[in-house]
Amino acid sequence: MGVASGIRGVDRKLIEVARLYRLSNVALTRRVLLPAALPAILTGLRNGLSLAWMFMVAAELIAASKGLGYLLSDGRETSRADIVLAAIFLLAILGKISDSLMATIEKRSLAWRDSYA
Amino acid sequence: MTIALEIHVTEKRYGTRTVLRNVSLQLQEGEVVSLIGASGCGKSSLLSIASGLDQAYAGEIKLHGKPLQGVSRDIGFIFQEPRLFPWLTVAENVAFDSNNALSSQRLVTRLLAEVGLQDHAGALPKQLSGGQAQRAAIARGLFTQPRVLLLDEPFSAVDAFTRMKLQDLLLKVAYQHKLTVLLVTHDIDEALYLSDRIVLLEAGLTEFHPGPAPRKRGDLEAAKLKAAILDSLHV
Repeated sequence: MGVASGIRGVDRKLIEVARLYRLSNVALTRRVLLPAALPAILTGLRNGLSLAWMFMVAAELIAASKGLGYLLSDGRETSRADIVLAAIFLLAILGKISDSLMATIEKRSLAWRDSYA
Repeated sequence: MTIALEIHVTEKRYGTRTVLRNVSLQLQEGEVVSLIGASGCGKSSLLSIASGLDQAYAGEIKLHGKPLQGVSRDIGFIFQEPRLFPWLTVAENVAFDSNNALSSQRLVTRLLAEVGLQDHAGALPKQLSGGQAQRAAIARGLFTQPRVLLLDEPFSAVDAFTRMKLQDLLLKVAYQHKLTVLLVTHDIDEALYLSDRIVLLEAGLTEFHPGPAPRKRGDLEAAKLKAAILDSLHV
């Protein structure tokens, strides 16, 4: 979805410039569409990653015999608050690390963008 | 003198609206021609057709006597905005047509020196001023070493002093590269300064001849011609 909406949002004027250079569809995609859509693609990936963590835990809560979601479920059922808190803490740390990693990739890949931050 | 570009547009329509009908224009090799006219008269459409970007029209374009099929390396196009690719450096933008950056390095260096951007080859477009960005766009337009250069109001978005510098730059590169130039502009003073011939597009074509180059800005002859052009435009 991020790729599709990013490509749909590419500035028509840049495509017009690319047409002047007789680019093939493959070259147009590689040299213009994908770089221009990169901000939307990376935002989509970053959002997707945070959602992926949530859905993973939700799935483990319902049907798993190991993992963070299982720890949460198991801790609740055995009244082990320490396990529940540890699982929540671990989930937060993993989420933060993966988001920071994506933010670093985004910042480096989009250094060309003329934006506020 | 040989004819570099022949434009014959029988009809150009957008939906039911006809913007151009029976327009014929010939450009001699090395000539600088300005196309002026009121907003919506079809100047930019004519330029787009001449570039090969727009092929949805009735008529024919000939480049050095041969019918033009789509865009051509022999025709450079400079837009109103610089339209640089923001993720590429200035040098990479200039060499966008090339698949081999190394082989084109000398040409890029020369072109950047010609437009006064030799110290900005590695800069990103966001680091350039409006005038510098348009200089980079001019260098990119020259990269394919075209014989005809089309410009669509290229200096309308920059301040007056930068505009004058860019106009002089255009005259310099047109002379150095032996270019035939077709310029669309709203600025009559710009047309008078740059052009060997001014074509007014309004219910047909009316021609004005500012006299031989080099021309001075705002001299008496130019003022008289400007009055005549404004009169033709009913301003």
